[in-house]
Amino acid sequence: MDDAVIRIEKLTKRYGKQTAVSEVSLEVPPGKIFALMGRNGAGKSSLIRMLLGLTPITSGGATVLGFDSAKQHVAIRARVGYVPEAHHMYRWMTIAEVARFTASFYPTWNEKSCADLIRKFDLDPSKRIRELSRGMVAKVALTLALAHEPRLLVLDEPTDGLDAVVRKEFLESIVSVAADEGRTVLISSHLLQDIERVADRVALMEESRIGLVEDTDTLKARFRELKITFTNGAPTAFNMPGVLSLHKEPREWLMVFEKFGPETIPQLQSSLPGAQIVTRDMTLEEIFVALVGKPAGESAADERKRA
Amino acid sequence: MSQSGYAMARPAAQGQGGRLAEPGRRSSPFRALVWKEWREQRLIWAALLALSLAAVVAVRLAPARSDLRADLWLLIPTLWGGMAAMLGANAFAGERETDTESFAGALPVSRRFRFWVKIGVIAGLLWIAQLLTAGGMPAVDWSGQSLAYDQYFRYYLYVSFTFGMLLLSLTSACVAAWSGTAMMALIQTAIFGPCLVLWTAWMGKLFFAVVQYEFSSALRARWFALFVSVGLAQGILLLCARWLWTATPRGFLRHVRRAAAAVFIFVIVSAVPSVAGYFLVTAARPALPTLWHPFNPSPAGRYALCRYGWLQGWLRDGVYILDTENSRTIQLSRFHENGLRSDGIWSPDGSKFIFYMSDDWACPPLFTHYFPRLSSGSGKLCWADAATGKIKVLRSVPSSVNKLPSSVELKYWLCCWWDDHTVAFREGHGIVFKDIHTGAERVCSDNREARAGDEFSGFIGARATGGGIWTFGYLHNGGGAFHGYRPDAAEASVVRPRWHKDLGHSSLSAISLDGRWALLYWWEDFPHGGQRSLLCSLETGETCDIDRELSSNEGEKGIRIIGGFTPDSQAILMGDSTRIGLWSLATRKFELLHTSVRGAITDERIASLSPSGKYLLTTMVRLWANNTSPAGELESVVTDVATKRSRPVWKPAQGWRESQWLGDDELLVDSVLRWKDKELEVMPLAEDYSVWVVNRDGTSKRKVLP
Repeated sequence: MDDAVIRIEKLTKRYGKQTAVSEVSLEVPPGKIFALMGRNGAGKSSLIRMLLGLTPITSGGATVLGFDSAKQHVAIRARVGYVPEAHHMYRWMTIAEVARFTASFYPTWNEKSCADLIRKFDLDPSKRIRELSRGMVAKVALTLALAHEPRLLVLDEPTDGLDAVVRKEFLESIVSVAADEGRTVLISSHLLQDIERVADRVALMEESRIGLVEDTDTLKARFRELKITFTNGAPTAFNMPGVLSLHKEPREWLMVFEKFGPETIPQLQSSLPGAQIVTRDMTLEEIFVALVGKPAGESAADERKRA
Repeated sequence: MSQSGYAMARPAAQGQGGRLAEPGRRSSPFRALVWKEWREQRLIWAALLALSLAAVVAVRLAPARSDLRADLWLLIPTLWGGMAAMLGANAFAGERETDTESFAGALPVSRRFRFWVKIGVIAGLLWIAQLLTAGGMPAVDWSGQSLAYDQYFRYYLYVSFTFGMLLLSLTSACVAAWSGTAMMALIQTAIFGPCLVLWTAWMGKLFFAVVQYEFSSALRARWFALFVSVGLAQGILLLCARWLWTATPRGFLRHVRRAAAAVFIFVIVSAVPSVAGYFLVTAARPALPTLWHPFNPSPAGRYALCRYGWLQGWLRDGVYILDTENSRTIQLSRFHENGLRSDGIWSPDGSKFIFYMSDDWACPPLFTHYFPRLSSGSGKLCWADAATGKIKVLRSVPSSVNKLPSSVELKYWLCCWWDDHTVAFREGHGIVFKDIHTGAERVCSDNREARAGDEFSGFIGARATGGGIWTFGYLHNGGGAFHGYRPDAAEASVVRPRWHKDLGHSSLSAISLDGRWALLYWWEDFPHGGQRSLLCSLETGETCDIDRELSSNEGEKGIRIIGGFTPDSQAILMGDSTRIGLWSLATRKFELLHTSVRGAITDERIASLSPSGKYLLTTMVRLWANNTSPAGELESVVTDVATKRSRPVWKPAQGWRESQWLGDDELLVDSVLRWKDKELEVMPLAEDYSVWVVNRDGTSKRKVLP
């Protein structure tokens, strides 16, 4: 893909002996909402921070909008709208002050766009940051990220800590921005229902590596959950390609197919005569659990704790 | 695309989503960062600036020559340093604590740019604060205390000098804050630990000193109360420090922690170079002397005892031996300089001297300064070899607060040399003659009348003084008595009859070398009050009121004693503002040696006879001269007593402070370029001091120090 907005080649990040990102290669096409999904600690934020030059790259390389992440990070940040994981703005500033302060750094700052966004998000410019709710602060962050009209919007866990209503509203804003102005959006989140709502294409990060990159629709079409009910008892032996997981009960099986197609049902009926087969579409989160085996919001530390 | 971002700073208050855009110009990243830093630092800066200005006001209001004023002078740069550390820590640690670092880091400017803007803003604020503090001085000068231009100039130089130190504090605080807890842990481990150990060791030393010395129960109780208080304070401070570093305080406590870290860093940054500098700079040869005190030359003129002070945290001073031949100096003390005296007594051959050293060095100067009652009062009588500076103890003096009441106090500073290896000193009810090499002692006990003496006010001795050494004391009943002692006589050899009916309080000033005459000062009681000079014959007990004698002669009115007996014991050096001469003991007449139409302020510092008595050194100052304009108005002349011819020997363009004879042929001159301020004695630290050896004719001179 020659016109990729982001191109990553074997990018690696180590903190001491711990590897946060391991030889990740990825391309983000223009005009799409690209989602990085994965558990907490999978390396999503480290990957984004390397792309923007906020943390040094251990090895490998990446370009963003044609600029080298290792050497031209100031130029990258001037052209990218970035909403970090936590919106730690100067709490003593008013919205107007933080907007003016931020505007000083962006030659492409659009005053009208900023005012429109503030109006659209129903923000009071005279209010100080410390007086705002988390949702409002997230909106301010999005305003600041969009007001300089970036070609690429990078959102690192932008909805973390927001309630459901605000999350929905925030994501709708992102979709509208991307759709209206044809921007590329890179969003990372462990909240897969959010990603499912907006993402055109997803990448799954697991244990510092990219496990899967696919269009959301294709991915959802490929995965299917089947409920198979046996009237005369389940067979003792069964083998069929494309089965990702199989949960057996005495009279009922739950099966996840990762390569579901039109021929899958006839094949099953011939293999399991007399069985009643019901199919169900899977959510992104269910696909994630089926692939990884754990919920997306659970970190490795949580896993150890649970053990 | 609009460029009117400026309008965002002044949003129109038209309710939510009101009009935002107004014409304006967007600022640069530099200006935006400067504005942000200013907004974040201004409260702390203003508070510390107010504190500094308050200190300036306090300095101006404090009495001109008080210790408090000197302390406050030191407080101001300390506040500057604290300001540097606090601003630095607030700028960096504050950004990390609130995690606004992630927000600022995402802006399209380099981290290095943001760092230098921070440093620049803080440095600028510090500079402004220093100039405002310095410039604030005339504004508070309403109290009527004058302030000369020179002092301002020096003050600004001082600002320039200390600014580097402030930047060092600032940088250290920033680095520590920037690198977070790892750096703090390192600093605590590497520096705070040894500091604590040193402090504990120092307290332990004091503790054992208190146990060892026989203090009174009351004094010991005070000391132990101090130990308990300091121990508790240390414990509380450690607990607070531990809590501040391990807990995660919010709100105000977060600022307290940050301030504590800043102050801690500042103390470390200030203390470590100071301590290192103290040992590195002053361990061997002293640094450039700054404040020379009167010299005490040896009889042969080879050596001189001198004392100088330097500013290092607070004013310190030390006693040094100066070798006038090769300019070598030997520091006699490092820590207990307060107890040393530069008025040691030289042996007849000029190779060694005795002196009294107080043991109050056991107390840190700050303790004894603020808690004078903690002073022990004990000390040691010592002698030192002038060539090596090695000190040996002759007598350890027990604490004066622990001994039983006595009519005769132990006065070990009443001491002298009997010969080149025997020292005589008063101890209890007698005089001890002690050989400094063998340690052999011989005691001459006082007789009954001497023991009844109220106070021995003088102690002068030499082999020439009639073959013995002499003490003088005044008695309860108003009389006075001289006592002569020899090491070969077991009992006091001479007790003079009462020689004055209503003597009052008197003190012995000098005894002629032939042992025939004594010069005393005594104070008449009210209403006649005033100091009078008495000449006393040790042979007959006859007394002569010199002042009355002089005033009876119209031509000698105003003449007063400005020196002791001449070496031939025939006259006393006297003079007034324009005349210097000898007052004959035989004829009771004044014989003029030198006069000056320009006038001379005569005292013992500027008019003295050479050791042989053949030459007279006089230094003259114009009558209208004063401390504010002495430079260039001085002239030192040497007069041949026999021919009464005078010739100038020292016409210092750079000033003068003191001259002493080094034998008959050379003079030791302490030169100082005085600055035009009446507060010379308070802050003379940056003056141009130098010490010279000048020959008697004034034809050659060589610089000895620095």
